[in-house]
Amino acid sequence: MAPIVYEDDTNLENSLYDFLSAKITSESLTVIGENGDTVTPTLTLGWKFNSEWSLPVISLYVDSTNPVRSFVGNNRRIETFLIIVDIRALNDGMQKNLTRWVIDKINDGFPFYEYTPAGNNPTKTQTGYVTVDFNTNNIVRLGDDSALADKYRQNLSISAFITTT
Amino acid sequence: MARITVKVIGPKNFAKEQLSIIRDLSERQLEAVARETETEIRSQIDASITRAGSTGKLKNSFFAEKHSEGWGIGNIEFLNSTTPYWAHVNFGSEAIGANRNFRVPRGAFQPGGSAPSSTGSKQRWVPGSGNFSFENPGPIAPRNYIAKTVAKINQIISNVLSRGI
Repeated sequence: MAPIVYEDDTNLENSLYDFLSAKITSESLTVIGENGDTVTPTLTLGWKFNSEWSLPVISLYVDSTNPVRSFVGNNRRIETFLIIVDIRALNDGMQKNLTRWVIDKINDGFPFYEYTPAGNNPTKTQTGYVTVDFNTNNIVRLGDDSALADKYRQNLSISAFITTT
Repeated sequence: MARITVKVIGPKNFAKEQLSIIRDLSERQLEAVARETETEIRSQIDASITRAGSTGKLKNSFFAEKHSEGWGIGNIEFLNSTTPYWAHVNFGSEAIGANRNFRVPRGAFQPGGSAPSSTGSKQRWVPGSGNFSFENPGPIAPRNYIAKTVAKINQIISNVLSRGI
């Protein structure tokens, strides 16, 4: 039995993850951590926060899609994907700076890859490009007594559109 | 070259009347967009409910409201005072309370008045309906009803404009 292929939602998540991961590496991006040391932001997929992770954490996931019919009488859809990015930082300044960094990086879009399962290292092939529109950019205010992972948190929502080549 | 003069016969204050018509039309359209956005956000909240017995309090706390600069949906002061969990449900959170070991107010699972069990329950926890309590076993999953509604706003505006109200 063949394993299920990765569909657009997971390909999109992983494409954005790979894009931001490469940027963090190429820019040697660091912030000042809890103990005054320099730390590299952690990038994760999914909405769940793991308390074993060290802050700051940038998490992303595709939440939903909105497939509208491209034109009357045709079943082809123009699909936009809603991507949620959460930036969880250690203080106000880090929250603002990391948010600005993420926005600047994805402003011009990013490559879209299709992934093929292959053990722990799926192979990837670029088959298009993703354009983005920024919908919301909110400071998440859950109260002074919220957990540290929620205290300095920014939430971005993005509409993404895949153009395949 | 001959000089041609065009005489427009119409109401005395043509420009003023046109402006008044456009102002009325845009007011009606703006209100229609607000009302449809209100319907959309309530529908998104409904779609995110996972347990039976919802009172509808959260969705009914979002309503279209006229203010000096136009129309808005979701009065934050009202939400914070009547449904303070609105942000936790929308953005997701680690815990409502001081720490990860948040203990829910005393109550019971309804219908039935049953105690919490280690296998979980598909019923709704109703504070004050019993003498049981338990520690929140996991983070609150984000519903992203605001981001989903914002992602649909362009469609709502197109629909309203195409109806030519």
